[in-house]
Amino acid sequence: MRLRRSAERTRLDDEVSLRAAYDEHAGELFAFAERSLGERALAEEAVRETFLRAWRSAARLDAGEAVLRTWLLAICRNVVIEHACSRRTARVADGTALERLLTGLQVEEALRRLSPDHRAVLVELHVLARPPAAVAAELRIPAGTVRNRTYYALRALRLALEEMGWEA
Amino acid sequence: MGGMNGCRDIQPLLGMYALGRLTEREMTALQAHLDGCPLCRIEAAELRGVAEALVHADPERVEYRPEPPPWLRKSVFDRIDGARRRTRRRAAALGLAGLTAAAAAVTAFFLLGAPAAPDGPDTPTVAYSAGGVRASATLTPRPWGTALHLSVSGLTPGQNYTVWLERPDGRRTPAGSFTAQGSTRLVMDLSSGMKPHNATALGLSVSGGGPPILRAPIPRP
Repeated sequence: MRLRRSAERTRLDDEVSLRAAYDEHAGELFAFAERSLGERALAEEAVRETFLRAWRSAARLDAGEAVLRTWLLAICRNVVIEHACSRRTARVADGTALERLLTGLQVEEALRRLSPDHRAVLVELHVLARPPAAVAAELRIPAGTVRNRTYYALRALRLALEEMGWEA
Repeated sequence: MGGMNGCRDIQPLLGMYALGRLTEREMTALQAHLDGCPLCRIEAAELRGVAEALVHADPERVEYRPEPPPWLRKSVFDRIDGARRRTRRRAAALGLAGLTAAAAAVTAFFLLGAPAAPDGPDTPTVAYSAGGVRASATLTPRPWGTALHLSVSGLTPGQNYTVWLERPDGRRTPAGSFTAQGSTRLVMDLSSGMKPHNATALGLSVSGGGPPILRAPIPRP
């Protein structure tokens, strides 16, 4: 158990892990920063700062990939808040709005990991709030299929979120 | 009552239930099942949580996600490399300061007022005294080993002394020798090929052998 844990853990202080973490998560961090701060240049700076802080406190992290992702997002969130406080160019006015944005972006990330069919039914039905009959017509599937597909799409979404380190 | 409808039949309703899209009839059937089925109740609650998060998603953002420019990767790691270099330099300086602080602590009962370090804040100074002999030494790392700045008084006039650094295995490397002159304080610069971090002790013996007059262990930081 001990061995397995130590083999699985992610050591960010080693250069290779840090670069792998960048390749895996920089896109999402950048998207979050860009959407919160409203400017690409600010988002680039936020990503640099996030990885610098991650490298500095890497010794405190002893965790798997899902936790690594949420940890990096938490660092990036703090960086964004500091930016937002120091500059008034930020789109994010308060912490609640930022939390909502963060939740939204994570769900969007999870939606991208679903099959197009699953994604479409959830977006049409829930995000765009269309009636099930209209969704069935739009997607050219029977009403019963909309119902079943919704169930399996939600389960897939929950799984994708869990893999991303989401805690319900 | 839940037995009337098996989980497999009722489960597909959980999706629409989580999204709040069940008809009244479907809702009644599901509720009857949930009342008697803890497992489906758990799943219903979990899917509700996912559905609540789902409303925060923006469909347009699902289609398009801003991507970082390709050069950002290098720029991120250049900054980390810069920080790493600065940290190493600081760590080297701190390590040496720690070493001297530790040495000073071990020889605390010999401790005198430490004279000012001659070469600024980077060069640590140890001061100690034993049997009327007073000495203070500064160890500075050099590419070739250690530069030792030694100040000593209270030695026997005319006697020749050897200054040494001691390795972990007890072997001593001479750092130089001198002849004492009365009660005058002698100040000298000596050198040793041993790096400061390899030295476990600094000491002074009568040249030609004999027990150390002074021996200050330098514990590892």
